[in-house]
Amino acid sequence: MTQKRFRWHNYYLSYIILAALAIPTLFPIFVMLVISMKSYSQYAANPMLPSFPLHLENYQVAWEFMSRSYLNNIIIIGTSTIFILLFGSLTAYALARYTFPGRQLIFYLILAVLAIPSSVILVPSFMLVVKLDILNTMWAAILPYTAHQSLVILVFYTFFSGLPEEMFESARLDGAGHLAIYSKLVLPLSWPIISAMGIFEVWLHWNDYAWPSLVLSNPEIRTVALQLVTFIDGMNVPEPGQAMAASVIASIPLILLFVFSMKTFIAGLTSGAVKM
Amino acid sequence: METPMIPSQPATAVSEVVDEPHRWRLSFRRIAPLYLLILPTLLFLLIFIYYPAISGFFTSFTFWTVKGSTWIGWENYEKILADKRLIASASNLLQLTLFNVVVVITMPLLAAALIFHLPHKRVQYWLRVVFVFPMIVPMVVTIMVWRWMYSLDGGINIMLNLIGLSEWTRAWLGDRDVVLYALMFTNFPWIAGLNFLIYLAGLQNIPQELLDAAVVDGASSIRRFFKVELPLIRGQMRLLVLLTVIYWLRSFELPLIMTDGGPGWSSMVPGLRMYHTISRDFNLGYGSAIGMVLFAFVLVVTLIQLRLTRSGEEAI
Amino acid sequence: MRRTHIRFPVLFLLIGLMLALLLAACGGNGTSEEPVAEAPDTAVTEEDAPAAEEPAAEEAMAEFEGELTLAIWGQIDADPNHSAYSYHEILQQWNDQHPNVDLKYELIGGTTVPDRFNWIATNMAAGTLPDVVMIYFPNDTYKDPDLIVDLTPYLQEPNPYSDNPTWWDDFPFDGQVLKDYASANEEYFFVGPTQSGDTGVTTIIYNKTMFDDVSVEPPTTWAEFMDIQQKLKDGGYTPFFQPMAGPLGWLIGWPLMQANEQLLDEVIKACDIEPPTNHISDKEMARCIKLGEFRADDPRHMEVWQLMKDWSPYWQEGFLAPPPEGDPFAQGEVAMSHMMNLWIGRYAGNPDITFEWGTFYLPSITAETTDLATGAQNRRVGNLGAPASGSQFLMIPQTTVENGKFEMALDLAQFTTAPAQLDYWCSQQPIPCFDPGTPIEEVYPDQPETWIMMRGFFEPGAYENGVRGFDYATLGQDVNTQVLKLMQDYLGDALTLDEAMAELQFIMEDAADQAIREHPEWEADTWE
Repeated sequence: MTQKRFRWHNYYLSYIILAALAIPTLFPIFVMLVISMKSYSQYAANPMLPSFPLHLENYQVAWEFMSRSYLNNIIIIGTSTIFILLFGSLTAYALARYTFPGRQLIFYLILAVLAIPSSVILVPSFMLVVKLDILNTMWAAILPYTAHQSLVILVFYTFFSGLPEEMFESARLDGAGHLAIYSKLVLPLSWPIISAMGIFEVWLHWNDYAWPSLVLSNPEIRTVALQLVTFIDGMNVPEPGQAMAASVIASIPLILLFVFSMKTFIAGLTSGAVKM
Repeated sequence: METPMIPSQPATAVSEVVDEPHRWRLSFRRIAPLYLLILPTLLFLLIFIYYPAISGFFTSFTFWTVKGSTWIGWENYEKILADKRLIASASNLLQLTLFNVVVVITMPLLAAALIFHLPHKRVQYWLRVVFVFPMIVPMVVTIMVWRWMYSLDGGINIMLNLIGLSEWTRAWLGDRDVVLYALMFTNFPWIAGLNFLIYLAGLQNIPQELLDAAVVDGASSIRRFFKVELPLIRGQMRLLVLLTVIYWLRSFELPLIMTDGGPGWSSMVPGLRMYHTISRDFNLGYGSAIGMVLFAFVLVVTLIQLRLTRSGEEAI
Repeated sequence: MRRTHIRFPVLFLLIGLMLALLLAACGGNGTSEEPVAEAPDTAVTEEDAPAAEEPAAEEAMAEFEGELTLAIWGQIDADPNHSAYSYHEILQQWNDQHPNVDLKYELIGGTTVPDRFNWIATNMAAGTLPDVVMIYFPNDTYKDPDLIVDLTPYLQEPNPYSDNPTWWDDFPFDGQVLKDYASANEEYFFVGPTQSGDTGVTTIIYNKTMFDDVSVEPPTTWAEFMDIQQKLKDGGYTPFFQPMAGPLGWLIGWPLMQANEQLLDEVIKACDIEPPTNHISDKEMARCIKLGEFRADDPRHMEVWQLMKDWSPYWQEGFLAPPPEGDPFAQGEVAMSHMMNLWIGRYAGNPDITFEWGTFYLPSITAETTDLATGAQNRRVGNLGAPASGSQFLMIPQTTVENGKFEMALDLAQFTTAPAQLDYWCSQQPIPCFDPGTPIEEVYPDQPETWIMMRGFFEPGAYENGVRGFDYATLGQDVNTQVLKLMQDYLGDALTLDEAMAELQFIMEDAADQAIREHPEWEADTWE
C-alpha cells in the first residue's frame, strides 16, 4: 500500500460512497437497539425512532430467560463448525489441487446439494434422525449441520485453486505428504477465508430455528434460537421491547465472535503469509 | 487463454472442474490418500442429504399422509402442469434472480474495493466491521424495518415527500404493480457480510507485486481496478454469481416473510408454493414433486451457467 | 517466492478443540445410552450431573413408574403469574401422587399454529410423539383412531379421581366442551380442564372517545355497523383496522366465517348430517362440496364476499399491504379493531391509553342489509373450549399404547379433569367462573367500567352459540392461504367476483378430493 501518497482529496469520494452504503446497512442494528429499550406504549406510538425514558429493565427480563441456553449452542455450533471447516477444507484441497478418477462426480455431488430444496428433505431427514436413534440429542443438530458443507467447499475450492502451483510443487519435491502440505501450506495461506467461513457458519446456524425446533424438544438441550422464540412467542403477551432485548442478548456471542475473529481475519489478511 | 498481465496465475474458476485438462496427474501412491481426505465429507453428504433427498424423490410419486403413502405414479407432476398459478410464478422467480445477480457483482464488490484501497489500516478495519456487523441482526428485525420502510407513513414515502414526489407514494407491498420491485429493493444496499468478505479476501490475496507494477506503469486507479484487480478476482465473482443464482432460484424466504406471495399471487414464487403445500397442509407428495421440478430446473441452469462462464473465458 | 512459516499448532488446536467439544456433546445429550468411558475431563461430568436421577421417594404407594413425557404447547412452567401455570401445578400434583413417575415436558416446536401442527404431524408420522400431547387447537386431522386413542369408552367409565358415576359427568355443561371437538362419528379424542362460563374469545374493540365525538353508539345490526363507520369516516377518522396481509392477515377469517354462518345457515344445516355435534367436520365439508350443497358461486356465498367488499372502504388505507409494526388502535389512529381476550391486557389498566374504550360483538346481518339475510343470529368465533377460552386439551397417541404407557397416560388425563382440579383451574383464571347466561353486571358487580370494556366478550354468550366450523380451513390450512389471496385480488379489483368464485370452487373441490382419498373409510362413492 502506498501510504505516503495519501491525500484526503484522493479519497473523499470513496468516503462519501462508503458512508452512503454504511448508513442504510447499519439502520437495522440501530432499530434493534432502539426498540429493545422501549416499553409497549412507546413502541406502539413510535416503533422506529428513540423515545425516552429508556427501559433498560427489558434486558433484565430477557436475560433471566435467555442465559441458560448459551452452553448448548456453543457445543452444537462449535462442534459442527469445526467439523465443517476441517472436512470441507480437506475435500476442497483434494479437489482443487489434484486430478483423480471420480473427481468430477464428487464435485457434482457436492454442487447439486445446493439445489436441493430444504423443505423436501425436512421430513425424510427427521425420519433418518429417528432411525439413527439420535432424536432429542445434540447429535440430531450437529450431524445434519455438518453435512451441509457444499457452500464452504466451493468457497475453499475457489481460493485453494488460486494458490500458486510452485509452492505445492516444491513442497512435494521436499517429500511432504498430503496432510503436511495441507497443514503447513494450505491452512496458513487460507487462514483469512477459513475464519471468514467460520464466522459465516456460526452465523448461519446460531439463530437457526426450523430444524432444532423439530429435533431438540428436550428442554435441557434447547438452543438460543429456540429459547428466544419461546420467549417472544410464548404464553405471555409479546412485548416488542423485551423481544428485541432478548434478540440483542442472543446475538452477544455473535458480536464477540465477530470482534475477535475479525482480528484473526485481518491478521491473516495482512500477514506476509499471503504474499508471494 | 490466460490474460497477458498475469502470466503464472492459474485461472480460478469453479467451472474449470467441468472439463479442465488433467493438470496434476499423479501416481497412485499419492492419489489413494486423497480419497481418505474426501471420505468424511462424502459420508456426511450421502447419509444426511442424499438419503433424505432420494426418499423425497420417491415421495413425489406418492399420495402421502401421516399414516402412510400410496404410489400414484406421475399424478403429482401432472398436477403441477395444470397449476397455472404455479407456472406463472416462475416469471417472478426469474426477475428476482436476474436482479440479484446484477447486484452481487456490483455492490459488495464496490464496498470491498473502496475499502481495500483506503490507505489507513485502522479505517479499513472499522469499515470492515461496519459492513460485517449487521449480519448479527436477526431476521425478525430486518422484516420489521423493511415493513416499516414500505408502509404508508414509512421511510420510502417520507423520502419521496421530501423530494417532492408525493404522487408516487403508496403502500408499496399492497400494490401488485410494484410489489416485486419492492422485494428487489429490500436489504438495500445489498452488501451482505459474506459476499463482501469473499471479495475482500480475494482482493487481499492479489500479489502485491502486481499492484505495484501497475502503479509504476502509471495506471489510474480505475484503470488498474479493471485491468489488474478485476481479472484476478473473477474466480470469486463467478463463485458468487453461481451461489446467487442457486440461492435465489430455490429461495422463498423473502416473499414468505414480506408478503406471503401477495397481494394475490403478484409476488409468488414456486418455492413458496412448495412451502405452503408442505408446511401448511403437510401435503408431502405434491410438495416434493414441486421440489423435484425446482431441483431439476436449478441444476440445469447451474450447469448451463458453468458451461457459459467457461466458454466466455475462452473467448477472452 | 517466500516459503511460509509452518503452523503446526493451528492444526493441533483445531483437533484438540474438536475432541473436547465432541466429548462435551456426548455428555450433553441426555438420552445417550453409552457411558463415555474414556472421557476424563470436567466438561462431561458437569454436563451429566443434571441427568443423574435422584432415587424416587420410597414411601409413597405408586402404581406407576417410569418416564412419562408430555408435549406442551407453550412453556406452562415459565411464569407463575400466567394462568397456564396452574396447569403445570395440576400436573405436578399428579406427579406428587405418583412419585415413581418421571414426568418430563417436551416443547412443541414452531412459532405459528401451522408450524406446531407440523411438529405434531412429523412426530406422528415417525412414531415419536411424546406419551401425552397437549393440544391447544383440537384438529380434524388427528381425529383418527389409528393415530390417537379414542377415549369414548373410557368416558363412560368412572374416573378414579372423581365421585361422579362416569368420567363424562366430570365435564361441566353436559360435556359441551367435548362435544365441540368430537369427530363426525361421535368419537372423543381430546379431554381437558375447561373453564366454566360462556365468554367468547373474539370481539371488536372501539375507541369510545371517537364514538362520542361523532355521537354514535355500538351497533346492533350490520346496517348500523356500516352507518356508524360512514359517520366516523365523515368525522375524519379511519373507522376500522383490517389488515389483509402480514402476521394478522388471518383476522379476516373471523368476519368471513361469521357472515358465512349467517347467510349460509340453511346450507350448513343441510351439510351437518351427523348429529349430535352441531359441527361441520372435514367429512361433512367434503361431502357438502362433492354433492354441490355448497358451491362457491351460491348467491348467498357471493353475497358474503360482496359484503366484505362493501365494508372495505372503511378499512385503513393500504389494507392490502402488511401493516407496519405498532398498534394503530393503541395509537388512536383507528376507531375499531379486532380483539381477542389474550390481547386485552395491553389496554386494560394501561396508563398510556389516553382515550376511553369498550368492546362489542360484530352485529348480525339483517334484511335491512341484504334480501338474503336469514334471521340467524351471529355466532361466536371461539366456542366453549376454544383456544384462549381457558381450556387445555390432551390427547394420547397410539404409540403410547404400543409403549405400554397408556394406563399411566390415561390416569394423568383423568386426574387433570377431575372436579377438584377443575375447581383449582377455574380459581386461577383471569375471568371468574359463572353459569351460562349470567349477565356481566353480576359477574363483575359494581364495576361499570369493566362492563363497557368486557361486554363484547359476554354478549351474546358463547355457550351453545359457537360457530359450527363452516371454515375454509376445514379441509386444510392451504385452502385458507388461497382464500386470503383470492380475497386480496377481489378487493384489489384484480379479479371479478365470478372469477374469484370459479377459482375458489376449483380449490375447494381439489381439497375435498384430497380428503376423500385420505379417508377411504368415508366411503365417498356411496354419498348421495
